Amino acid sequence: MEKKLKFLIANCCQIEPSDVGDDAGVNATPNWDSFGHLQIMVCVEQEFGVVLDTKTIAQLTSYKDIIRYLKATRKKNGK
Amino acid sequence: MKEIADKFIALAANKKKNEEARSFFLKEIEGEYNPLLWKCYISHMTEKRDRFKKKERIALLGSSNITPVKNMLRSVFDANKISTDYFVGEYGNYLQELMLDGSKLYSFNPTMTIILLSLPDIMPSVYEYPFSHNKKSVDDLLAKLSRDLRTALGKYSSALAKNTTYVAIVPSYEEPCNYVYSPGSSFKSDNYLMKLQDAVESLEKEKNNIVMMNGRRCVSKHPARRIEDKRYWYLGRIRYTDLFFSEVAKELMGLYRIINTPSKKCLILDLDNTLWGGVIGQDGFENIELGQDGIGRAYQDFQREALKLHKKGIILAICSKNNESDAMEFFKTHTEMILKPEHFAAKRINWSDKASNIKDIAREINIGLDSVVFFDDDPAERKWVRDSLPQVTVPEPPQDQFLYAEFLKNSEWFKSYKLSEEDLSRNITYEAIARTKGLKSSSSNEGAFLKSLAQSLTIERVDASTVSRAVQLCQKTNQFNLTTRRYQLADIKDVMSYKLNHVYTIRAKDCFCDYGIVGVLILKGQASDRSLTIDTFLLSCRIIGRKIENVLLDWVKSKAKAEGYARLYGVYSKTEKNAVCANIYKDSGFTVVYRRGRDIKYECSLDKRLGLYPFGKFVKVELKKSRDGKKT
Repeated sequence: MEKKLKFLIANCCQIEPSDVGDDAGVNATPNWDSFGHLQIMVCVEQEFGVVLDTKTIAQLTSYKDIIRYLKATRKKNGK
Repeated sequence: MKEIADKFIALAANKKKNEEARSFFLKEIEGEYNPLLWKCYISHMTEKRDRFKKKERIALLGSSNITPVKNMLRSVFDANKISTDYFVGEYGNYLQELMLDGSKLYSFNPTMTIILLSLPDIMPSVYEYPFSHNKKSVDDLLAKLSRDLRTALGKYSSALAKNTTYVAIVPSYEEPCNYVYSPGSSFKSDNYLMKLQDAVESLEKEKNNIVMMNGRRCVSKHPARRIEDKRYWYLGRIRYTDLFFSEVAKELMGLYRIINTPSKKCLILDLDNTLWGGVIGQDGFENIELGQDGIGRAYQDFQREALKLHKKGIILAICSKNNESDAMEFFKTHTEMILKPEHFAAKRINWSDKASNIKDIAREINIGLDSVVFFDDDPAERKWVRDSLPQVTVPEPPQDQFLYAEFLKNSEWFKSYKLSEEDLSRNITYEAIARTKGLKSSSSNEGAFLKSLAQSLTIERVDASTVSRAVQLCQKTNQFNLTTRRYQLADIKDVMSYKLNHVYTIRAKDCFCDYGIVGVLILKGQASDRSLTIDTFLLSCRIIGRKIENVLLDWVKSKAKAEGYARLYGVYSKTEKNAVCANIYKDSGFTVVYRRGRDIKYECSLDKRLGLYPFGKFVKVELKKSRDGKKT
């Protein structure tokens, strides 16, 4: 999951996956601005099969936030 | 979805496989929407800055935030080997940007401007407070919006002549009065859409650099929930999903290609298992699949598509390995055939190889091989033609023969943005030519052939109503053009200002059809040595080979003699393309005065008896007085 998310962030931000560290996030990572953020969210929904509500989209502004959210969702769904 | 992205990245990483990566991407985006693939294209291909020769400067103007379309356009253009630069206007500000000369938009100096408008953005009061509106206020608002849009677009398209503006109004799923099932026509999004589209379309007729894009095509393939997404609207004033923007990018690319690539002119068709099911030589007529029902219907539908293309001005031809008499017998006797022999401008039904036959057909109807599409169900024939004639487009038809008609319908080769009068009339002429060829082979001698054609020529002095056609012919006629002087309007006027000079147009008619103006004749008189010179003599290639040229030269001779000239001069200037008329003066009894470079000057003395073309009497020639009443 971590690797896939980094791959996805890298492609949305047009950087190398190796440049996406655990501290990646809005304003810390090149091109992860408000527009880039929405692009990442579109791909997260598609690739991880989740539907994010508006507030969640606004809150998941870093790599760690997204991972935490995805893990919690997975647990809730009993996987 | 990630697997596809991985596959793409592997291709993109290998420089030698970038071409493959591009076509992989273009193929994949026709299928299920894959957001990751689009992102990967941007991060792995366009960043390499493979700068292409072809460049476009694209300005994006939206009534709401349309930024997501930028990277998608960049990707599809890049995949089609076109580099692009972008200007994204502030959303909602499009009218001001279009109206103000000094705006950032003008200084960006785009070659393409894309305007994407959403109804709730441009008429917010109706969507937000519908109950404060009535029919009149809505109509007034629509009239004002149409006016503003027309003014702004009109000004902008005149100011930036090299720019093409693509306008799309996106159909809205949202209705102003959701609480009322049938609120009346004043409160229906579709009605607003139609009125505003009409306004842009009326402008599109006047300006050739405005293009109306069909917004409906970008939304119609998907349900509303996949097109509009309120979350992005609240977070970023983006009304639509990425899926929608990817559809816009694809639609625009398709439209761009239609506008910028010349459509193919000719469709050459195989017969067995293409126009009908089965092989007439083996299966016998009664076992051929063709008809109203079942399998036969699929072949009939394919023929109907080909007939539509024919009516649209695409030339049809046949190239088939068959006995010609069998095939023609089938055309004649099978009642379910939609296509008739007269729909084909040329036929090569024989056992020689198809590449040579196709070359022959192209020569016969005077078109380049690069405007030919060859459709055959047999993979071996396709390969043979593809390998021997790479200029010819040879599509790979679907495995399933039932889908041939759909395949043709959705293909790109014959699409054009508008339908011109010329398109609609082209095949009438080709049909007539095909019929005269039939006559030629059935009439045993030249005289009988000409007599059966019943041709008549009308020679008219050029006037205001015909001069533009004369200029057009001077500009475009390559084959039967003795001197290839590319006169413009001003040049023609100049020639006419001298009283011994005459500019004529030639109209031709025969028993099949009226060809309209098909030729130009410019004669220059010289009083000092009593000579008349044929400055320009050209005829459209559609009517060459029916002795019209000989008859016209005879007419010039007789006229010159009657007016008291002593000799007639003519020049043949050789070009790459006009060999067809190289011998016309010689054949008409002229003698060579001199040869200089590409020019041969000929002379015909008018003092002695004129040697006229013996079958000239079968062609009627009439000199019509010009409309302004002056003697010609």
